[in-house]
Amino acid sequence: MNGLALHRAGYVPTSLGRCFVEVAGEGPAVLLLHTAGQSGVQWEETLRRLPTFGFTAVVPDLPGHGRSDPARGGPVEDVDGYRRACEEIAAGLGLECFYVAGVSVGGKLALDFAVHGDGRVLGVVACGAEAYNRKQSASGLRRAREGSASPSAAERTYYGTLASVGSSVPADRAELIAARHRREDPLVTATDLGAWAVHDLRGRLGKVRCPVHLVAGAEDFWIDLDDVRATAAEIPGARVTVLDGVGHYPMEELPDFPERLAAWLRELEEAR
Amino acid sequence: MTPGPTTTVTAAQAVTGRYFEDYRLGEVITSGGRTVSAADIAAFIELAGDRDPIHTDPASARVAGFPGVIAPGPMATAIFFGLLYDTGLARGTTLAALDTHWTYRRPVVAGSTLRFAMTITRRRRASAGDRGVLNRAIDLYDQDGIVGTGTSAGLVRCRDAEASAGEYAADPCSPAWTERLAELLNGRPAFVDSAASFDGVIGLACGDVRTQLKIYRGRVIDHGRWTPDGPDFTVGGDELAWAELATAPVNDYLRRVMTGRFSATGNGYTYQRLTKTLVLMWDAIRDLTAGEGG
Repeated sequence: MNGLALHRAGYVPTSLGRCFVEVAGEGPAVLLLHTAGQSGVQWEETLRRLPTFGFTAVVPDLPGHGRSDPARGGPVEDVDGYRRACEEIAAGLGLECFYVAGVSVGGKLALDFAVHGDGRVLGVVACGAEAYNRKQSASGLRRAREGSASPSAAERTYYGTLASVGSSVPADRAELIAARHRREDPLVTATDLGAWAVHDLRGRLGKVRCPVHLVAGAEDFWIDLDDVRATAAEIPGARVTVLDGVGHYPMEELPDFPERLAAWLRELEEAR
Repeated sequence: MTPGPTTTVTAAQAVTGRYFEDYRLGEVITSGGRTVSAADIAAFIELAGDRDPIHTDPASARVAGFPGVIAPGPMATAIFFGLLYDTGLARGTTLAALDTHWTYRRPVVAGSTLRFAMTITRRRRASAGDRGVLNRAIDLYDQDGIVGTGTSAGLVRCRDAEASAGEYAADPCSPAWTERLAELLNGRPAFVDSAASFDGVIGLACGDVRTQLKIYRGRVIDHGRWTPDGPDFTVGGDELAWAELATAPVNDYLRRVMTGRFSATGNGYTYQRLTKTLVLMWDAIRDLTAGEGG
């Protein structure tokens, strides 16, 4: 059976509206969570190749993103809201247990799953995320929700994304990543970043009961590597991997990310 | 040739060092190492007279939070100039040190091996013509990392009394540099399009040197240190940030903004609005720098 035959997609109802979800493969399920303002397109390569390593890739567009409905009640303002929607997606798909991997606000969401996880969360790979991000200004992001305070949003997102990828990424690949990001709804992106900025998991990580792997790009200026290490130190048994030449979007920047993710997931399996 | 220190120095010393024209903006010069001994520190204290107990008494130094006696701070800058002499670059061509601004990061102790990396951040010919000012940004290291950072300007002999074409490229935000930048920008359709709806003034600040570009419908129509209504915003960084971006392999201006190497003051909305315009302006600045020639 080829990969395409195993690939299925559709809408799953949640209390925030219908969410578009792609699923591929067989084996343990891995919820793959995208970054602020983005969509499951960021996981396109992982969706295609993770199944070859014996995992089921589950890629939702978060409420208000990509092909999902605009979030009921307006853009989601907190990470908890996204986690509850993802739990509804998992339930809707009939997933009894699953791994969670995410990047940036998706990484923070993955960490949130680790904190709140009951036995259903098998393990977490959190990329570009720490327990608390000190680099964002919640008040500035609040203002940035208004177009009157946030001019040239598409160009700033485009150039800001180019600036955020690592030096190991070829120019044509960086261009593709930045062009994907330019499609964002700036209101949703600013709201997501605001949710990221205020979500504070410090002091709550000691109760994490699933294995956690924190992954950071060495050139990711959105996060603080010392804070990533401090986050790992709070989580029993957590590992940290720093990726040289990589910025804020490892799943889009690294050609071999699916292989690496599969290896990390196997380590989480063994750690259980 | 203009009388002055130049003739005095050449009379006393063979010229084997580099002339003003031999330095390039953004060029990084590194030194060899020098290990500081306890006797060196004692000799410096004896000479300078700073006999504070943190330099002479291990117990006092420990009370102050140091593992043992530390060298007086200025010894680090003094050794920088010694290491600079050892490079040979200054022999017979350096006329004077003009200033030194220094930040002490970590103490120098006996056993520290010091070396520097020095970036040329501005090269400006003096009005006398036969000499010029080199601005330099310095990182001083020991075996564990940076012990001090700073800047120092030096007065250096020129090989030729006349400025070469394009020499302004190493003097960012100067009048001649700004005039050339305006020419470049006005000849670039992408830049003109990016600013076609703009009527205002962009200020640029490279260290303490500032310039302004009055832009109307995408064209730079006036420039200089002053414009009638002044800048809508000014984007700037220190001279090291400018020299590094001007000569970096790629134009990563926005990464350097997002990591704090450049910042803006003034109308923040207009500044954000012109993000693409500023990226394209930096393309032109980098081309201006590369076109310096030689």
